[in-house]
Amino acid sequence: MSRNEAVTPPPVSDVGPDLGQAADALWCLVWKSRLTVRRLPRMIILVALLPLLALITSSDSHIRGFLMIALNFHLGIVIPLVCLIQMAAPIRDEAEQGTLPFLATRPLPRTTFFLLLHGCHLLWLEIVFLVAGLLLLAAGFYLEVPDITEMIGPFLLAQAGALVAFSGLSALIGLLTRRYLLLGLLYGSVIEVGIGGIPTNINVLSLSHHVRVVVSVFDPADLFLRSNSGTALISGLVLIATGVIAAVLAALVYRGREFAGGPDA
Amino acid sequence: MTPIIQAKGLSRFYGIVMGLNNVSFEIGDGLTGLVGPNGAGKTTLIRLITGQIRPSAGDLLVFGQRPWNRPDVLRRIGYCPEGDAIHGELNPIDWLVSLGCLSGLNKATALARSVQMLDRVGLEAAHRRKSVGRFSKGMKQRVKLAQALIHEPDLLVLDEPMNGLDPMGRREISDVLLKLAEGGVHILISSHILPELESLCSQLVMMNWGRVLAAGSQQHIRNDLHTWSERVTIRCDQPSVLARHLLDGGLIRGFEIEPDSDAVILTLQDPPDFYRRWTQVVLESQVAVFEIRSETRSLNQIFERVTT
Amino acid sequence: MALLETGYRPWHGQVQNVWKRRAVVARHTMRTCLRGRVVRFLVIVPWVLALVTVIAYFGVGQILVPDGLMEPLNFYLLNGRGRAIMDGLVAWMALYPDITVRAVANFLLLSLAGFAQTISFLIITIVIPRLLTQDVASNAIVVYSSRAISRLDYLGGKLAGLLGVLTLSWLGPVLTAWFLGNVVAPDWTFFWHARSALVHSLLFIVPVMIAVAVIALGISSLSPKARIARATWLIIWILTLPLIGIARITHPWLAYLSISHVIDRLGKAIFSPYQDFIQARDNLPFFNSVFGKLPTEKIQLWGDAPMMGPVIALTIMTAVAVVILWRRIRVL
Repeated sequence: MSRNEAVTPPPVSDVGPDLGQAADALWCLVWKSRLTVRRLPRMIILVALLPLLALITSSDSHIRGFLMIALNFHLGIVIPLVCLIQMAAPIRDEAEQGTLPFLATRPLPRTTFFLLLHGCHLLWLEIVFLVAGLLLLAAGFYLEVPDITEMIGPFLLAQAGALVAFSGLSALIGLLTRRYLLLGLLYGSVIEVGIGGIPTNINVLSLSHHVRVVVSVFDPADLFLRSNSGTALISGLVLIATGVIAAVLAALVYRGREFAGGPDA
Repeated sequence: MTPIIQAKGLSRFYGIVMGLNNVSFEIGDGLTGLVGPNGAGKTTLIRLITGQIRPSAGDLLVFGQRPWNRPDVLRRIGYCPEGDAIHGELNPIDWLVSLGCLSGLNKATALARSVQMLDRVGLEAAHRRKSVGRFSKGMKQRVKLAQALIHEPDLLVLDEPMNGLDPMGRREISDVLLKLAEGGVHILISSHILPELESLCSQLVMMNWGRVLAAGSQQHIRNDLHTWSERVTIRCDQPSVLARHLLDGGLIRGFEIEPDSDAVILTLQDPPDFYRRWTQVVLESQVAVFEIRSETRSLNQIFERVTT
Repeated sequence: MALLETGYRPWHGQVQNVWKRRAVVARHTMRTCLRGRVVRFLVIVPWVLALVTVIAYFGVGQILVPDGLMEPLNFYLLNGRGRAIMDGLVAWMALYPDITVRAVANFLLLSLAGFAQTISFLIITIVIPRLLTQDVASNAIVVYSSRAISRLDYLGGKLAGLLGVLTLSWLGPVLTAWFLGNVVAPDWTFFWHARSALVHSLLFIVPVMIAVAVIALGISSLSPKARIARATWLIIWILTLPLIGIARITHPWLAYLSISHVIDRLGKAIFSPYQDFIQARDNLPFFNSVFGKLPTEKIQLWGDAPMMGPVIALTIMTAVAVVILWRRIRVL
């Protein structure tokens, strides 16, 4: 069959897909790879773990325990660590699996491709954590934590902002070095836990600080957390801006770097 | 006619390891075979052509432009990599649709073309809704080929496309490639299976040690090997008589009679002259000839000759 | 027509026994784990700490003898009152060497074991993908099973290899510190007085090392991706640490989800530094006034722990790891 006899109706774009098309295609790849029957049990366990933990820790001081899990543990440790593990290496993962050539040889500028892939992975993470967050809040409702309904907005916003910020940062670290896990942990210990946990002028360098500020719109959180002085709106913008800027920088790094493997076997 | 791929002083290093060393060649239209042993630099060259890596020195142009980060060039290239890896959780239709959309097709077109390409590469309909991770090697290879074809590229770059295919599968894919070439698609195939390249490709690029040792048609390459003495084996009833006649006729440089057999191996003086006059000499010798075999026309022989 | 390979000669050598074959797997695992400068550097760090421990032990020993190295230092560095206190301290310590030497040895070895544990965990973080992850990714178990070793031999060899690395980074430095510390002590009776520290070290480190190695192997077999194996180990090690704080205000048993906490409690249960503290406080009159002012409850919280809880927790973690290993490492 010659090319002139091709059956298909409209001609292919001369340059490549538009942004929406490309985003849609990558999103399909991402969610269909993640949401499989094989992975479903693991995902359910991960999503339900913290709410279950919150339920079984109910005791006389269950409010403190719940806030500790939801604010300190979930927002302050789980989200950054999951972002570091999942978002630092989408390109490296594809390269390691050997599937990057299928994607990197499509007619997309490298920066666009990276940003769209990052966006799709981030969207997936936001959806998963939205479910996890709602389950956690449901556990709080069951435990009769006072004013839990007022916590929904600040908590989910803080969570969303934290995911954007830490994802962007993780993506940048992941592209800069292969030892991104260790570098990320070092950053986390020094900046997020170290500087962020101490009330100084420079604790604004810590993203966790800004997350705490956003969630502290909820008064019990404000009383529970330390080192959370600041304006929620500004902190929210800081989180979004950090995530976006870091992602753009990562895209620029990807534009100049190769991930196609070493010499011939 | 402008070559499809042009390399000038092209080099690529991985640290201190040399992938390609100062190669210059041109690849025109049609079916071109890329031949070389492991570590020759074939995959490096293919990665450079498909814009996955950049040259360390020199230049490489595909359709007159450098392919790195050039969507307009990449739009015209279809690439089928060598490895087994594939997005295993998806079924082939979903995978092809996604990749087709990434190549600029809208969803409906991508879906129609996916089915069409899977028909073309011979993947049975019963397998099309199973996840690709469960496919055999041959089935994965077909799906990989389909994704390279889905956006109707002008240049098809195939790295070991026959891997994992049974002989019938290889025949089918070869037919597909020949038809594509007839339809105007330029194809570059890298393969170890020399007999298949021999039947498929009009042009060859032979590589070893990061260098291009020979490029052009098989005949052109053979003609270039001036010092190469072509050898012919003839099985007949009187090998020594035939050999003496041919030697007297000035058609051969030397001969060797195989012990305990009825064959004589001739080293030709001037192959075109030999083939023009040998029948006359055979008739004059009145020797009965049972078989004549040229051992030097195969791609395998050319390759061995070029790489040693 | 049969194909005859005239050059082929069957091998008639002696077949090695199964232990030698297991040793090959172990040796290969150790060599793979110890590849790289970072791991080799980390392996050396506990030995440096062991040297520091020996020096500290040596210093204590020198305090206890009248003509020791500390005597001229006391003379030149301390004033009259300080010298008198030091002389009194030395006299009491010399009267109760079993308490003094034992307590000091226990404390030093427990501290060294704790540091060495952290370093060992760091080493495991780096080498965990080299244990089973790469073999799972490449399905190398198929290659191993085509040889004369069973799945158990393969896993046993892997375990032995990792234990070899942990011996270098954990058990080895502690035992060496005990031995060398007593060698440079002023008296051979130090070996006798410090015997409990040796027993405690062996009782604590050997089973914990084996458990940690099994858990590391289990995590290593979970995924063919190096990143997931490493991340899972880090989650189990680091992410569970905040649970200790949560456990304090909710349910104390939650703390046993943290492997670091479990090992720490087990160490305290075996070495029982709190008992040493009580004995020193009750029997060394000079120390009575000093130790009596310290918050005993807090010291008990730090230095005393039940045995059962950590043992059960560690056993459960190890059992889960064994189940994972058995299911993941098989020829499919």
